[in-house]
Amino acid sequence: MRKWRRAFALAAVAASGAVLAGSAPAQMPMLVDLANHRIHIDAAFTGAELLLFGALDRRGDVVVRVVGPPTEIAVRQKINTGGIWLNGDRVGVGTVPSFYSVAASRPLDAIASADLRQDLELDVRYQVRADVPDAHRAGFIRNFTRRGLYAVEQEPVKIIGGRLFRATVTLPAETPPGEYWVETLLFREGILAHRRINRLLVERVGFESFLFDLAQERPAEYGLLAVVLALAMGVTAAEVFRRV
Amino acid sequence: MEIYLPIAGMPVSIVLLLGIGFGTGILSGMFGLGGGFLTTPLLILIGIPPTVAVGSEASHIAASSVSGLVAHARRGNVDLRMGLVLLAGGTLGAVTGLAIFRLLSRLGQIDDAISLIYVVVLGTVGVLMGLESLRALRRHRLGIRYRPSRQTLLRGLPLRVPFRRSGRYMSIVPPVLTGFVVGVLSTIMGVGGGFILVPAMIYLLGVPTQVVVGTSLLQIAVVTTIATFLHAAFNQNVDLLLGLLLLIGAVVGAQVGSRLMVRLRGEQIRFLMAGLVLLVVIMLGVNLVLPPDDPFFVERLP
Repeated sequence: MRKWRRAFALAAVAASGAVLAGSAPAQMPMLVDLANHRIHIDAAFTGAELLLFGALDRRGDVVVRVVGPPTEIAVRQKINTGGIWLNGDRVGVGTVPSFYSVAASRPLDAIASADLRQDLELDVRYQVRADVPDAHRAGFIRNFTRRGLYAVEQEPVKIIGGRLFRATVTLPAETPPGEYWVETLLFREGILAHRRINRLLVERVGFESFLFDLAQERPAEYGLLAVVLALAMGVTAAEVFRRV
Repeated sequence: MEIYLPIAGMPVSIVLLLGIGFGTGILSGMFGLGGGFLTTPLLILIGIPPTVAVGSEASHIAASSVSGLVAHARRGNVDLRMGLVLLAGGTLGAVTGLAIFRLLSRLGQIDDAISLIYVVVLGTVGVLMGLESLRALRRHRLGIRYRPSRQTLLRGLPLRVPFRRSGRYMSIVPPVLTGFVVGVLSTIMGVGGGFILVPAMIYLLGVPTQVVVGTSLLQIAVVTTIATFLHAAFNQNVDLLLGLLLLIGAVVGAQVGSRLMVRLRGEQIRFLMAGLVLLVVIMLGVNLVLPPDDPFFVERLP
């Protein structure tokens, strides 16, 4: 299924390239689209690949940034207290993107100056409030990077023939559901030349979404369901095994 | 084969969950334990968020202990009066435990407190039970008949009633207190509390091992049923799919366990249980002492 989708997306890239070569819409320096605008979390979900493709009117550097829904987190440090590792104080990090990835066609520092990167808040550390202690900020970024939630310059944007480009963004198994912003930036001679934004929706579907919504919206009924199910299962099992 | 757990928000191997369920099911049928003291740390170890592990575990223990309870009740291994007296104290203890749990949560020390309480309580229980069962096993080999000592400590307490099934005539004060302490600890630790209740009934209350198992399952089933509802209603941390997979394994295991138990003598059961409890203590203790891979960790705030 995924392979088929990818083949389809590549065909679409080729098609858009052909259109571009033919009519050459000079007013549009960059065209971008996602292979799918919705990612479904169902019972078989173990992560997904987001495929983005596009076309340029002439050569340039492309940076693709994906930002997940905001989440509020805190960081703690384990401290050795008399031979035992205990939790240190909770340090509030505030609201951060629950997912953050940046992919670029060349190393970021070759594409844009430090000042411009800071203005665009491209570096992941700008996603964290400035007053958070350095060690805690680094610890948080390390944690999210290890879990695949933060990925900066891990997979490149591939530019084909100077005109077409594609980027794949790996969404890990614990990808949080919600609305994602996919921002594609075009740089030329170190200047931001164009910016496109696409929306991506990551959502629970089917049984997953039914259970989750029930648990969140009708917790008392969900609790009763859990209890009845547990008791029924227990009694049924005892009955079944009595006859064996 | 992996399945995505909706509340935990992550995919987990189905076989792994069934296996964990089966293993704890055997314990539940054999020892009258819910097995939560083993499952909860295991679930956290495979990456389930701790709150979801505790909440879903409650639903799983409720189901597997009900299954074990029915099986034992059928063999007449449940002292209903003893169970109700224990529950009177246990319910009160659960409320008190919840208050302590909330206080520790506010102080931000709940997970360390849980680990330390696990190590101290399980360590004490495991060592005491291991030593006692070794002595009993040696007595059996030497052919000495075991005479349980009449608890002189418990003499002279008021409200004495007969517990016919247990063959005891004693005050209801010790079982109420036992139920209370177990209720407090089981709420804080997020488990059924069988591993404290079973030895307490054997050593403090002098209830015969065969009756202990069924009777403790009664308390565990009721307490975890209440806990399941409270967790789901107030914390939204019960993952039904996780609980369901665990208990499919567990109900099978519980039946196997209650059959195995019939073939074993009381002190053999207690010896195995002590070994298992100490294994968990070592696992948790090592985690507390070894330096963590990364001292920084992230908490998601609601």
